[in-house]
Amino acid sequence: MSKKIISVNFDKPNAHRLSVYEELGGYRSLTKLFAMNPADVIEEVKKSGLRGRGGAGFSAGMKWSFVPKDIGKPKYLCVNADEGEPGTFKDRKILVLDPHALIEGIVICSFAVGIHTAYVYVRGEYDTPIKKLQAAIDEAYAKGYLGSNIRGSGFDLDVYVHRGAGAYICGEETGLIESLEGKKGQPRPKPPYPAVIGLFGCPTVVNNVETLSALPFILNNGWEAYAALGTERSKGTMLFSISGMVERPGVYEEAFGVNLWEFIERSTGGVKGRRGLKAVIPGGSSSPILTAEEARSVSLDYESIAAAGSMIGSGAIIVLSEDNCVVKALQVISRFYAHESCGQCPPCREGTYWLTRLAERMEKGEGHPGDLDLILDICPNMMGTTVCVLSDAMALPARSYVQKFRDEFERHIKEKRCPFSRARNNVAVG
Amino acid sequence: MEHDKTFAFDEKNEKSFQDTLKKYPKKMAALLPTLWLAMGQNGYLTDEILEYVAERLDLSPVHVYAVAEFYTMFHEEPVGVYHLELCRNLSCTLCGSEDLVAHLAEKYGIFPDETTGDGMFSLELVECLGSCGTAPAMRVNDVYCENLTVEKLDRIIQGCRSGVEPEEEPMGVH
Amino acid sequence: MSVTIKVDGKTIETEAGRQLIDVLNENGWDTPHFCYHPGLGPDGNCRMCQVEIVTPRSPMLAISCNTKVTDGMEVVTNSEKVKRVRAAVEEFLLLNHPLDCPICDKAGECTLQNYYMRHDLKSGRQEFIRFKKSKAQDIGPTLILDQERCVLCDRCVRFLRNWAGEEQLYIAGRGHDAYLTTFPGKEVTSPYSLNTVDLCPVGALTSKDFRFSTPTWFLKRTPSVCTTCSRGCSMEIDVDMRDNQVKRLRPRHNPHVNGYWMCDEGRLNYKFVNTDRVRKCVVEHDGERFEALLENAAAELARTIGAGTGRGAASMGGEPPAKPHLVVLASATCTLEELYACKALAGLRPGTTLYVARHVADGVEDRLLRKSDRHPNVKGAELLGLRVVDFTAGPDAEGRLPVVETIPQGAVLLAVGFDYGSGEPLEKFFEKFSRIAIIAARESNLTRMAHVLVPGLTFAEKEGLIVNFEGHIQKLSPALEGLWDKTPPWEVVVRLVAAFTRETAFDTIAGLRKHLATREAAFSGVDLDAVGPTGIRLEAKTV
Repeated sequence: MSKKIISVNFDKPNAHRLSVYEELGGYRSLTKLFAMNPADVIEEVKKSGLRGRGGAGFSAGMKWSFVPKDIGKPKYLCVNADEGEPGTFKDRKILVLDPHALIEGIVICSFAVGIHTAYVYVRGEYDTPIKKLQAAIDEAYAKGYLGSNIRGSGFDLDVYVHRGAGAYICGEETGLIESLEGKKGQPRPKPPYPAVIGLFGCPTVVNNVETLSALPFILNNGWEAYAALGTERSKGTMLFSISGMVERPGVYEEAFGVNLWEFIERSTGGVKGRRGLKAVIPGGSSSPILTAEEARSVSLDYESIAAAGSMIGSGAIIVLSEDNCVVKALQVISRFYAHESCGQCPPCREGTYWLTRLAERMEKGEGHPGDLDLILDICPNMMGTTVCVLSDAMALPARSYVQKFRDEFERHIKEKRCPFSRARNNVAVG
Repeated sequence: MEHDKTFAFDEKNEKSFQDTLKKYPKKMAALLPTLWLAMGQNGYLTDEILEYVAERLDLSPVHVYAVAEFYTMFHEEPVGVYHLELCRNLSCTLCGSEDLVAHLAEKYGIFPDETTGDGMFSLELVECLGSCGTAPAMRVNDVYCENLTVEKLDRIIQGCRSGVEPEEEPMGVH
Repeated sequence: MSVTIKVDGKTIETEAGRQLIDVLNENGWDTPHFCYHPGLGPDGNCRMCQVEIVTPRSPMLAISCNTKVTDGMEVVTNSEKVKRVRAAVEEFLLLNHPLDCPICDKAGECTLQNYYMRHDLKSGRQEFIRFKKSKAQDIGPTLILDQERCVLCDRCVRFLRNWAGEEQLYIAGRGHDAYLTTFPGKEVTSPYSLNTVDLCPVGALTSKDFRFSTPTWFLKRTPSVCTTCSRGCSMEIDVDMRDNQVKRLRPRHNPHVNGYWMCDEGRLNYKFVNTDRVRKCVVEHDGERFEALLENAAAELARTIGAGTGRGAASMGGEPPAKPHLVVLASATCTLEELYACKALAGLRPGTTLYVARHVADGVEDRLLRKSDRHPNVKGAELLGLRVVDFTAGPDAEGRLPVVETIPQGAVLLAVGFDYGSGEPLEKFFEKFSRIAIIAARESNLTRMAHVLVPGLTFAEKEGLIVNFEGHIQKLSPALEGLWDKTPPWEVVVRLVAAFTRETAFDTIAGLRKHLATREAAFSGVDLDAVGPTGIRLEAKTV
């Protein structure tokens, strides 16, 4: 029933090995690729409707077309394998189970844009994925899929793995670039955009692992095959990382347009222990929360989720059951954003800290009656006012938690404890 | 772990360092990889090491210091033989990671941001490890330990005590 | 290329590509900002300068420091949204800011304070304990750091790295844990370090020299020019109005000379204004030194150089002496007016030689602002056609000092303006003279040799023009109220001139300047009375 494009090799034993990958049809697209005009490759990807799968959802082909053609400077590709959005664990699968698919996608993108050096920025914690990816890259070099004159095409490409060191903000495209350049991963004001001035001051494409891994399919089967899947404005498939209170959490690929809750139930077996559904976070911790009703009635695609006041983001779906506490969820994610804020701008660095303190005391049962309105007043000050959207990623969800589950917050304040705490005590551990 | 009286890369790391420099058009970009090499050799980054790295890359020492402080994974203090990084983010919390933190404290005397007296274990509560489908999750040095329960945690700790690092389970399809 | 933009409905014409914040500030829209500085460029982190740009969809917030004006741009600065953002940023910055105002040097000139009054005025809503970081940290010979006050604007970091070329400060860490620091154990040693104190919008970086010295609202600020080297950075002299002491010097913006900055050495070279001053006229007779009124000292001065009969000499009895050879030695720290008066004197009195002395030892020269020549007006002397003699090198291999061999027996010396750099070469030179008259502001081994001593004025007290090494004329303005009887050196010398010619053209400084401009080719056509705050550049052909 579900169409597999990216995860098609996940269940194939040793698909990470080049010989197996080739048997499965891997690197076939390069023959077609090198016979094409790079500009036509960009067109193909544009028409396919492929959107960035890292969280921003911007048209990949259009992003590539922003890179100036003849500028006299080298161009770079940065592959965003920082995967730090809470709830997301799908790029990790690709890196471990099907790294050659990523490499093939890197070659396709680089050829289309005229890039000869690509860096894969992998988060520092991903030791195994880094090893697997590097081994695959070494294999690709040995077989002539990377390096100079790839398969006699005349096209040169070097791919290097660059290890991060524990900073969620390096998943932001300009934060990634700053980190790669050897600085703190502090995002840059935009404009200028990386496509014009990026890594080392040169035009740079920053693409998510999954986005690039979809390219072999598009090249092999044509843009129409990809665009045939999904909805009008959400083409193709996405790897959804489903976690939280479900029977079988995991990564499940699906074409856009299915009913959100139906998809979750079908893939994961529904709420764990058959408990009631309370809420669904559809796109990682940075996305506003959906109530159970909203989750049951919304279609899983960019526009519908946006219309419901949330976002697809990285496709990380987190399910909360009736036993979970939304206030606790707010305390946990606000602590996360405060910890990860790079600290450049006052609204983010101070706002995340302030919200965390408020959420903490609320969760412990020490919240003041004015805290809720205070939170609702702080949030707009953190939205649209900062260098990057980490601030929005804190404030938008926080506001949605308070707005949609206000009664839970008020119970904490009134009862001076968490009504959902299993131990019925007020100690917030960790 | 060797003490860094006057730190310098050993032969293997010096070769890695030279190979690393070739990957980037600017020396500054080699900063993170070089810090990883240094931390790999010494276990943690002292001020002397930071100055050494600065010198090797023609950077100001305070730049290297600021960068090392920015990233969570660079340790400026020694850590335990087994450094535990337990995820405290949303899915792991929903799946009971806080119970595991309490268990580590009560049964083993392992507390967050502390190293045990015998130097064996240090615990850090970290943010999302990208293991939400197999929550609760933890890193033990470089190894991912997933689908944790109290029992599994006990087995891991006992194993470490006998000098056996846990093994990463093969990744599932989903 | 000029473009037209609209701000709050008003039309403004400006040049394409300029930063919006500059256009706003120049046209009366005072746009608050922390991290932006015209001398450093934008950084985009403080978010305070945000204004709304009208777009086809809806007005969009943008930081005006990083938005270049384009034709037809419509800007809104007075909407509720902009007001809210400004108050919000201010509130966020105050959240963890320590309540140090009563003891903070910056109070009274603090951006955080000012913006609170202008854009916030709300009560604090933060109830949690403020974040603790290090305070009163000694980070070098000139600076004290208070990490809690720091608003993390990164100005000091950018200044030291991008302009001064020495990256000694950096913001380390992340989020609200971020803190400004040096490398542990290292110091900020840049010779331009104190500019960071000016740049710091709050009291995070304070000057050791100025710390706890004076509340800023007691300071009277006078525009002037630094006299420590031949660059002549535009600066201001800050005087405590209560005790009339100079408390600090700070750079003024001059795009033609020093940009926005000055070096630490020049900045700290003011203490002598307050101490070691020659406060009384002194006349020496038969080995004894007597205090004198200016009238009498001036008369003795005239007698010493053989001008007229001098009442003083007649009343003391004895013959008026034959006119000895006079050497007029003017320091290259003297103003144009002082040098010109000396030149006039030398021209009118036969048997007079005029030298301009370089006597302060060469200092460090760098590619930023500092010049090795530690005299502010050598160029002025050269343009007046005066002979400049170098005393900094000391005696040559044969033990000879410059020009000493040309001094005839029994010559007298009139030394003007030797307020510092009074080293051995000068002493040895002075010893050659039978009678020494000195006009100087500062006590030194030289003033103790004087037979006639008249107090002079330091740079902080006199009106005068100096010409820097590039031919840029700038004006010193007096910053101190007179506390004791003193006359500008140019005026004292002019009285001597009058003794020869009754020349009245320079009774006033304006008159002197006019005389100078009409007679000196290098300054022809220049209105020396109209030298504005950033000076006048002499045309290349005359320099």
